[in-house]
This record gives sequence, C-alpha cells and structure tokens, in this order.
Amino acid sequence: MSVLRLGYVHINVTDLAEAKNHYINTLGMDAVHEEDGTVYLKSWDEADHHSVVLSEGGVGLTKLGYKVSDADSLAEIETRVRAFGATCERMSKGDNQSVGDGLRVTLPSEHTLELYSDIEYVGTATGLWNPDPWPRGGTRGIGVPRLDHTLITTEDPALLERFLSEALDFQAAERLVGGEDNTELVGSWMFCGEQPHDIAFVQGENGKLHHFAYHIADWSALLHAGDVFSMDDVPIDFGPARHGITRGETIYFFDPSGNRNEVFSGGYRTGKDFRTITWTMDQAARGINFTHRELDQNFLTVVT
Amino acid sequence: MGDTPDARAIEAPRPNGEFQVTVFPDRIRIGVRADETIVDALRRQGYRSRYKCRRGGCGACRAVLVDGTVAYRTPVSETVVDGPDREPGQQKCLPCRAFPQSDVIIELGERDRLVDVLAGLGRSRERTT
Repeated sequence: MSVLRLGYVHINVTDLAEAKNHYINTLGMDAVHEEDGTVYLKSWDEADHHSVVLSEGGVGLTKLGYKVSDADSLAEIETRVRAFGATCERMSKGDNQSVGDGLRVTLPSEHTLELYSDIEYVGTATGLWNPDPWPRGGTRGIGVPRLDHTLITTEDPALLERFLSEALDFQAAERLVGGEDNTELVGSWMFCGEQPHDIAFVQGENGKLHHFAYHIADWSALLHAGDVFSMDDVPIDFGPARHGITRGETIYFFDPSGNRNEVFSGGYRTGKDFRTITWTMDQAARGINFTHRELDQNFLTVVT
Repeated sequence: MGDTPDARAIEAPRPNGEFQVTVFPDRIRIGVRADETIVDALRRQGYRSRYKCRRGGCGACRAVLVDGTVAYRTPVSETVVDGPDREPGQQKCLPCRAFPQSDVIIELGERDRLVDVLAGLGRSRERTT
C-alpha cells in the first residue's frame, strides 16, 4: 500500500474575489472549476483536476486530500485506521468534484483527511509528448508548479505521529523533541514517498492549519517569488531563508484571508531506508530558520 | 430635528480627509487617510506595531478599541476580532483591516509597543501629552 502525496487542500477564505486574485494572479494557479462560492485550482505542473480549493466563508482548513496508489491500498488503510480506533467513513464518487470513491478519516488531531486513488486526469500544461520544460505561453505571477506539503497543529504530536506511521505508513524524516534527555515530541516532519516531508505537525491547537506549501524550482525562483510578493504587497511571515529542518529554502507569506502559505525549494531525498534526524528545543530557532536563528513567537502561535 | 448642533461636526474629518488615531500606551498620534487602515498609516509614517498576516485572519494585531469607530471593508471573522480573552464591555479591533470612521484611540496589548523604525534617520515624532 502506498500514499503518494498531498493531493489537495480545501480552505476557507473571507473574500472569494480577493482570494482568487491571490491564488490565480500572484501565485499563478489556474481555475479549473467554479460553483456555489467554491473555486477549484490547479498549478501548471500538476496533472490531476485540482490541488487547492477555496470556499467563501471564514478562514482556515476544511480538509486535506492525500492521493493513494490504488483501490486495494484504500481498503488496507481502512482496516488499519479502524484497528487504530480512529474514525473513518467511506467517501463516495461525487462527494468531491471530479474525485472518485475514497476514505474520509478524522485524524487524532481532529483534522479531516481524505484518501482517494481516482481523480479526473487533466494533464500538465506541457503535456506528455516531447514536453517543453515550462509553459511556452508563460505563467502568471510566480507560476507555482505544484503543491508540496502541509503543516498542521495538534495537541498530541506523539499520537498523531503514531497514527500516520501505523495507519498510513508515513515515516518521520525529522523530529523536534524537548531535549537530549527529554524525548517529548514537539513536532514531526513525515514523508510517504521520497520528499523530506509530505505532512508535518507541531504542538498546538487541534484542527488548525499552520501552512500549506508550494514547491518551486530553486533559490533563484524563490527570490523571484519574493519580488512578486513585494509587487503585489503580499505580507511576508519570514524568508527568504534556509530551514534547518528539511534543509529546504523558504518564504512564508499570507493569503488575503490570513491563511499562511509557503514557497519551498530544495530539501533532500528520503526513502524507506532513511534514518530519522532529531532536533532539540534549544536549537528550534535554527531548525526552523537556519539563516537567522530567530523565531517570532507568532510563527508558532498564529494558525488558521 | 431643529437647530441642535450637528453631531457630525464633532467627528468631522480633518480638512485633508484624515482622522487622528492615538495609540496607547505610548500615546502616539498619527493621521490616517480615508483609504488607509490603521496599520497602513502607521507603516507609512515609519512605525511598526505587532501584526502578522495584515489580512485580518490571524488576530496578531488585535487591540482594544478605546474610543471611536472603525469599519472593515472586507469581511473579518468576529471570533478573530474578539479573540480568546474577551472581556465584557471591552471592544476589540483589528488595526490591519480597520478603517477609522472617526478619531480613534486604540490600546495595544501589554507586551506590544509601537516601534519607530525610521527614528535612526533623525525624524522627530509628534507625541500627545
């Protein structure tokens, strides 16, 4: 069985027109479908129908979708989720626009996580036959290629880590613990494929979103993203900077409703034989912002 | 209706269309233009207050609205405005999204202070007494 990647993120936005302008013109996503105050978006290098869904009303995360390789895997995951004692229900084709049957799990952190293997194939902007490396017709704004990962908050990181490990076969790439002689888990960065992380979580309020991230090509693309943020007066949380944890490069910023987003590049390669890295709380500032070694208190407390 | 003084005169905008916003506890007074939020006006005049998303979603800038009225041109969530530690009779506001509709007094949180990031450039500031 295998979970492939973060497939979609459903979020609430206070003003749909403002949000569309941000995700379409600043980030460069394309609107694929729109109905009843909900907009479905995809990035140019994503093949599936949508990856970010915006609904008008409030702020914050509604649900996450992770794509699974096949239907048999879904059945196996269902068995494991039930064995763990977590809540889950079958999700029917049509519950989500263009998404087939699947499984809707309530995580121990109270987040809704949907698993599916079937979603309408739309194709990337460059196609599969002798493709160009990027869309010749151009992209808007930053031109984000794809969704990468999400970071959520939970009252009990150890329980969520155990769930993701036992029920979904995620592995921890990096863990943040209290100290050398204090193994209490503060946060965990977990992968299902070979990225440094596909889902991460830190201690905090249940059910909340810290951020979701887009992958972009490299440090140079990251600085270009920073240019676009300034042109469009997008509030920056921090960056451009290097993460200690995941070794990635980052700019954190906010969408027009105050949901935190990230553009992320670099990082390393993991895999089934990857050995978990440990960070201690006395080095947390370096772990999160390796460049500046400073942490704004709001970075960890502001969630939507 | 009669010849009573026009209540609006008391809260009339300044000739240049600005309202005055006073920020406690530092008692710094700034002019806020009609097309500016309080945070926008502070930034324009070289100050930084505590804020994060500048979009009314995170609540980091939350301040007590001591006096005056503000309006929000885009929807903000009431739970974000009020915050977790709501006290009866106390009005809060989100300066990052608040457009003054009168002269306004806000009070920052205990550990929040205005920082004058342009002070090093030798500009002097008006302070209320």
